Amino acid sequence: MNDSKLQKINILIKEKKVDEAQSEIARLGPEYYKNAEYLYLRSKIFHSNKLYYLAIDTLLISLEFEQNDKVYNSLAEIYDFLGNKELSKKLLDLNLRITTVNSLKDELSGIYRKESKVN
Amino acid sequence: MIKLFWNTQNQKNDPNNKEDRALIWGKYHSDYSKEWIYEILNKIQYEKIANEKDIESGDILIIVDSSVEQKSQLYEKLQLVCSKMFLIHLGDEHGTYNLESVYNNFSYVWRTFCSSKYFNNDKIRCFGIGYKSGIIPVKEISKRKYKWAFMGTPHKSSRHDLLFQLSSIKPSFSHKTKKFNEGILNSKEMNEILASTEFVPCPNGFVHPETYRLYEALESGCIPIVENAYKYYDRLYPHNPFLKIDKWEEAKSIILKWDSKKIEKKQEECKLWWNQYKNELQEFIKKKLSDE
Repeated sequence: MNDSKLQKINILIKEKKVDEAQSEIARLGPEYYKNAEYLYLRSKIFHSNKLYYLAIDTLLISLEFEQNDKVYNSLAEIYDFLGNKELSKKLLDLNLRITTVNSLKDELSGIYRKESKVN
Repeated sequence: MIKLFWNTQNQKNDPNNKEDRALIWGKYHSDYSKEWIYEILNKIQYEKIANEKDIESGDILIIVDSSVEQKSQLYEKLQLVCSKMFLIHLGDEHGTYNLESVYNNFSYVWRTFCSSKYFNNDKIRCFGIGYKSGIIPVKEISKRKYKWAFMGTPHKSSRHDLLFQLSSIKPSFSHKTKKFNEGILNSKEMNEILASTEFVPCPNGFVHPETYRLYEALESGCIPIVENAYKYYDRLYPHNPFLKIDKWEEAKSIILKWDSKKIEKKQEECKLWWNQYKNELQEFIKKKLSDE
């Protein structure tokens, strides 16, 4: 993570200062909206605030910009917590996770896709 | 005289823009929100007008409008003629515009899609987006065929999880659509399904928690189950009786475990609350129109 603003937010989240992290991330402008790390941190804040579905949607969008183990792991963790163990397992499987996410996104018309038109 | 001018369908039409959101939504509100708005205005006497030319000097005007950020000039012109103006602002799901100068043209504003800046505001009161026109109120609470029903687009993860969690609970009814407002059930079918359903899960809308299905559930004597994101409904409707969940697995356990007595009691509670809310809103509008 090279961006000092994102680093600061990451530290605040790790220190469980979620409100401060929320207020810092809210200040970041549109230049961050397609930044995978920014989206990952946003999802962490959503998750901390029990906004599980917003966290998932944000992680799915993040994968449009960068493939990252921690994003798949977070998705798996949330789905496990929600009670969808099978989906959680698939998201942890290195051979299945990309097709699993793509098939999930195919079902969700409202998730941003880089290469297809959003409904 | 109080006159009501429904202006949502009148938007600057750009023929080159097939995705003219203001026009699409303006027509949508005109097609689907009239019965709800007329219901909340039913304690006042007014004349409906189709054109701003029907406004006369000294009239009290209620404008029902959307995309109001584009209409300051119209409101400034009408303000010169009317003795008082009130706005019922529909739409604005994103809430991104600063509407202070627009709202300043009005004695009082009612708006849908509430957000933090509007929750405690002396000049503005938020109200629900209501049910879509065509929904018939159901007075009977009696035993219902379906445990739960969902009709809509599973556009994001919440709705996907809702269907995953609840699909094993039968009998139920679900009608998935691929796109908003396309392939939807007609109002007769909707009425039949809702009148036969106990619980209606109400996942958040596309960008805002508000969803028509909450109000359609209430009109139909169903028990709404809403997402508790940002405690939106508790802020908008303190002491509401809706069931609230953080994840849909919680709804599964409620639907499976509640017996008929508990269900009936909650249905009655929701019905009573909804009728009281509508009555209070109607009285409030009546009072504002005479006070301001």
